[in-house]
Amino acid sequence: MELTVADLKPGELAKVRRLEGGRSYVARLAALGFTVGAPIKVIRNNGRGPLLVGLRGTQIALGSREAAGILVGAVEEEVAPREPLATNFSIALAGQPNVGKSTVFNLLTGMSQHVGNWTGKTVEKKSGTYQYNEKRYEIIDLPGTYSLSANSEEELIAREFILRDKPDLVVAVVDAATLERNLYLVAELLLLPAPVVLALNMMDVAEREGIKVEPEVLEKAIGIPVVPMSASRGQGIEALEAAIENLLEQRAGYKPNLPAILPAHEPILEAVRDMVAAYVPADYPASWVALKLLEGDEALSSLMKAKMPPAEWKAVDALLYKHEDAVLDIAGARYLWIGRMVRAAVVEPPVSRTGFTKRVDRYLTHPLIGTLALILLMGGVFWLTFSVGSPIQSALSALIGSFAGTVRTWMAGAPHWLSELVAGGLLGGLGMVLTFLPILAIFYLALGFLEDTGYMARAAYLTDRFMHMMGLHGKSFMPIVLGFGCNVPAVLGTRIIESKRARIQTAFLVPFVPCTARLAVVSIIAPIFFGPAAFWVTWGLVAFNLLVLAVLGLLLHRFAFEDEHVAFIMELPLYHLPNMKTIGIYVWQNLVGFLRKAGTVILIASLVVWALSYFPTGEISTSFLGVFGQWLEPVGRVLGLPWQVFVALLTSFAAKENTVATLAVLYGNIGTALPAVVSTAAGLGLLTFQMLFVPCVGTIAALKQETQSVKWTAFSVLLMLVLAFGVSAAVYQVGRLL
Amino acid sequence: MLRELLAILSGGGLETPASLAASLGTSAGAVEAMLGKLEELGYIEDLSAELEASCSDAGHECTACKGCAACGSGRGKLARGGRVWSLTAKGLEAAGRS
Repeated sequence: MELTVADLKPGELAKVRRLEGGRSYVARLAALGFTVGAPIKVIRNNGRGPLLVGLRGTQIALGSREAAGILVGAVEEEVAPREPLATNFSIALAGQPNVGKSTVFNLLTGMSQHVGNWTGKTVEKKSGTYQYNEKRYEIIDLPGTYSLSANSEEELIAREFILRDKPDLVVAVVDAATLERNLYLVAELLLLPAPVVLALNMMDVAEREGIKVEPEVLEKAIGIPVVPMSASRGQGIEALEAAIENLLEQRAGYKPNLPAILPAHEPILEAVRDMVAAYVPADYPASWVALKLLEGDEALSSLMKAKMPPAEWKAVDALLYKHEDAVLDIAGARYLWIGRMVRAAVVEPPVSRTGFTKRVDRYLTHPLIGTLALILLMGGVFWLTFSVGSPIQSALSALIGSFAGTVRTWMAGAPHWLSELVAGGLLGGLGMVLTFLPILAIFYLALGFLEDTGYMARAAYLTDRFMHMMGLHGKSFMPIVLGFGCNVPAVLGTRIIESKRARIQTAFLVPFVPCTARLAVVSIIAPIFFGPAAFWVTWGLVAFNLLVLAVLGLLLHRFAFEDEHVAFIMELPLYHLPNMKTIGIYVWQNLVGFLRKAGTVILIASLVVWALSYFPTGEISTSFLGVFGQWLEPVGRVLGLPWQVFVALLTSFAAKENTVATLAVLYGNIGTALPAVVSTAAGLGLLTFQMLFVPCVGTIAALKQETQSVKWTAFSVLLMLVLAFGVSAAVYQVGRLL
Repeated sequence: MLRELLAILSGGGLETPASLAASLGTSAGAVEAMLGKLEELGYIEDLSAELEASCSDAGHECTACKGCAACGSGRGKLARGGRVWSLTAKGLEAAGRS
């Protein structure tokens, strides 16, 4: 039968054999210092309440549950309690944030920790001690840093401690799963006087991700001791303690393979070192100071400026200025060094999410195959929206229509205008708009699905070639892509572009990007005229808008604006299985946004349109709107549209969805009413008009704000108005002939 | 290696860590680490925060904005937590000198 700590009597000694109770529980025990092989002594155990045990020179209270999870074995001989040892060695613990450095610190020191602040700083300083083979080690946990370039207070503290307090050894904790990001700090630590032991932590995580890291190979490649660890499981701590002892006792070889600098920079480095050597503070190696000065280290520049006579510093400064980009070569050489180490010691998994993403992206970001896939996927989104959403919308629309009739009957005794306000204005306008919720829900569901798999970022990436065609480069890319969501943030997003001309050009083009609101209106109206073919028509409309955008972009690029060749780098997320909750939130947010708009802008517009179409006579033909509409009739005739439809298009100026609301107020059930008064050719013209018409008022306000130009804003509005009218008239006239 | 990276970036166009890694003959992880360094040194800038600010600034203008595909919230972002960088004037100058 196996013994647990709970079975031991006061004064009994044992060694930890195994920990039980689940991963997080084991990790918690390991963090307290209960690692396999660790000797423990029970100080108090009266069968009830907490036990008190001695571990690694400290006393720890354990609950009965914790004690039952620590399985122990007997030790051969009782070790007599010793007097505390004097500190023999001081060890600095360095590492990036989130590499498990604190866990390693806790494992080494157990409960013997002291927490304070670094002198004169607000950064927390943790130190502690542990004993190993009758020696006492003091551990100082340095702040988490990515490098030692003095870019932050933490980096400055870390390097100053190593240089001034001269620890006997530095333990560099790195994440084995992301070595490429972690070894830069090691490359810098190796340049400092203290010897380094590499704690290759998170081996379990690397293993889980299929990454095979070979510690022996890495040890040979870097030339320093490398200890594989999984600190969260309490694994590897004894090997680390042994490696520290071996290196300090000079039993282990230590020939670090340092990152080289370019041969071209060696004479410059030597020159800087010769110039500053006499003034370098005693704690600092002169060659390291020279290297850091070449890297443009501001803290050391200030220090040397203060230490050196002005004339001599001026000469150094002039030399550094001449080679101000040397940091690119120095840091670049470190990355080459990292590449060599990683290539030697890391075997990437044959099948992983990274590998899968890479293989899929070979096709989905391919200029031809990727574009075809994008066309098919977007076509699929429209097809799904129309084939599933439209029948539901038709049923709801009929329901609202019949409910409006019932309301009219109920309100027969009320004033006619009141029953018409409720049945025609509220139910006809707002109610009809709300019947489109299923269409929108399916549209956003499909988009959300593509988004959550990580595909939408690829779609954005593919549009870059299109941007190039119209002379838009670099920073213009992102605002244009944002425009597919909403034109307002897209116009505001042009502020990332420094060049005023490029900023105006991009802001000017953004309203031609079909936003989701425009697409939602099109996805509502297109099936009314085109039935099952609606998704092809919608695709054609989107493509046409992009064509107009490209032509305008080319013209502006050729005649009005200059080129701005700046690269843009975009992280593409890994593909993964979509999360239904995330998609649900995405759909919900969009629908709530739509409902909020329905409850404000669309509601007000519906009521205003109803009032204008009812008063003063109660007849639409003689109403205010009717008189205004008949005045517009000749214009509408060119487009093949009755004045009611043309007025509906004009109301989209406040919000794109108002087109649908106004049509519903004026016609009732638009699904049946519209085809009776608008031909298919005119219907296509109507959709074209909707896609090219002046953007919503919010976008125009943003345009004015970002371009700071009334002239450009007015020109944009006018151009869209002319284009919308001209192109949709052409579509109707040509369509009529076919 | 950082100079080669800057030289590619100064050519314009849209790049991803994977495409840059293919050009440099290294891994995407190494490129991401180098991009972090170039950003720290001021040769490139991360524009994600500014673009996200455009979205939140637009929130009061567009009721659908918060949920749109471009801005969204949480994981609903265009590049889902992915960052976007561009060369700075310093980066362009350095690439020109290389």
